[in-house]
Amino acid sequence: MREHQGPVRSFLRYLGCPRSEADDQVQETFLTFLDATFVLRDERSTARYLRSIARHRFLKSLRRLDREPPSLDLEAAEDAWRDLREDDSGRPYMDALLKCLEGIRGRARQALDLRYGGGLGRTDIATKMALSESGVHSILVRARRRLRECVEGRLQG
Amino acid sequence: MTDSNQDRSRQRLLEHALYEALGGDAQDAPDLASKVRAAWESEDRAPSDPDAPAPPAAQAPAPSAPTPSAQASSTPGPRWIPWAAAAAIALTGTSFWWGQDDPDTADIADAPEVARGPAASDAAADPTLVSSDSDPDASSPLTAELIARAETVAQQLDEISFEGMPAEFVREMIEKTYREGALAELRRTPRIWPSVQASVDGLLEPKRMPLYARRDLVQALALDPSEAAFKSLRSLWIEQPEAFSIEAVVAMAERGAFEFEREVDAWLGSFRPEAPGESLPGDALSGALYGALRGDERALPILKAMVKANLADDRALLASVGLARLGRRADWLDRVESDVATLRAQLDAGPLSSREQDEVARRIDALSYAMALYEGMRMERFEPTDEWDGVPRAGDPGHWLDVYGAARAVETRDRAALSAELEALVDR
Repeated sequence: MREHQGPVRSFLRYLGCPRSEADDQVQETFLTFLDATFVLRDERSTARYLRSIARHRFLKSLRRLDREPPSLDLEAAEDAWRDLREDDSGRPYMDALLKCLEGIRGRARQALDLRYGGGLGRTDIATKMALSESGVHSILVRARRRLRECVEGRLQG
Repeated sequence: MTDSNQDRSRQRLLEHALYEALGGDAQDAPDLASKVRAAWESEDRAPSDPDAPAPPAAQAPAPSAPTPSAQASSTPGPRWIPWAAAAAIALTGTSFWWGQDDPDTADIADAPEVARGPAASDAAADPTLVSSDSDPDASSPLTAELIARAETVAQQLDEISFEGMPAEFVREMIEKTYREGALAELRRTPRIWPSVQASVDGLLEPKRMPLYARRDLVQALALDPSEAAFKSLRSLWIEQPEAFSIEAVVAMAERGAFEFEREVDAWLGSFRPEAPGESLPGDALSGALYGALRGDERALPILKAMVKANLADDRALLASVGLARLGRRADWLDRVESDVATLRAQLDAGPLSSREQDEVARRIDALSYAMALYEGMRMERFEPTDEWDGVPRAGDPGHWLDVYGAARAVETRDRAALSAELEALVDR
């Protein structure tokens, strides 16, 4: 379980599960898993089954609370996860990302840190960096595009 | 699956990883192993989820244990019949049982005894059940059990994975009506619980059900993605096709039932919205979209009539999607431009009241949904920008420009050009 709980939690967060609810959802996912008649075959199929339970439980909680469904297409979301983050609990993807982040410097790096490290919105970032909001938007869009090309290029290469 | 779905998922994946890498989102996760073990070993842990995804077939040699809902139903007959459907049908007949003074239901006073169901007499014989002559104790074990069972079914309804279009759109509305209406009413009026139980028995004898109840049954079964529901609907179709709405027929056609495909085909061929005296049923959109998504030109006059008849209605927007699918993209874009212009005017008019904000948000949602439908996406909705907090405000054009931009991008597939255009508009 210790091997899978991190990826399951990460997958739930990727689908849009709030941080405050993620641990409960992980716990429920494993309890459901333990109730099922699943026969362990290999780690990959176990991980896939756990993700399907987690997705199911997350959707269920959204509907129970009358919240909007995830904006992602869930089939595409699962495919992207399988393609990019399934191996070795997603470590290669994160390693590639950290490597690529080293290549992002200056204001782009500052904007990324404020956005994803500090959790700031576009308005606050613009104030801190003395930029217009649209300027911040452009910087973030470009930085993400570069990062994505770099990460996916590294994984393919 | 479309490229844009894959693109969006990979984009989200990157952003999620950025949160992990820069924000420590994953590092602060506690080790839940001991907690899960304690819950698993505890006797009072929650029962297994009856709707959990089935393990991969090759890995599940042993049959699953009966689910709580299946165990709860010891009555012979289809065990999948949802209690929420029973509740809804009970509500349909509530006035019959307890509201004879309701003029809307006075004409069904002669409904067959079976509508009350054999369980009604069982209820009288069972001291734990309550008769219609006295209000039951809402906190009695039986009532609590019925509530629990009904809620279980409501959750099962929640779990329905809506497949295909446009039945998905229709089913959402049906599901919402049943869940919210039926359960809310049951909570408010515990005395109708015996009728719920009676209705289950009525459901088990569909041939003896009155037409109004059977229509409700068909609508409820159309929500059920199970093979059993599919087969039952086919049987019901043979017995009483008039109990099927166009939505229900389309839902079955989308699941590949040939007789329903033929029915939609016949409906498309015979329905003339422009004919004198011909009315446009509210659910005509389902059938017309079904045809349009398959390139059937006969849907064209129906969709045009819907656009014309419901100018301020979301169905007109969806009908314009159907028109686009039939090659009339100008109609679709005109409609989107018109809606965006309306939104622009509302936002430019100044601060919005909370009611106006709700309306604007609803329109944006409708636009997003229509665009998703246009792109043929399933369960896809427009994803607002990260920074948008969900509240539209005058002077904060980002989100509706994105909506507008998305519509343009749908048409041009030129997201780079669109991005530049949007930025110019934002800077304006």
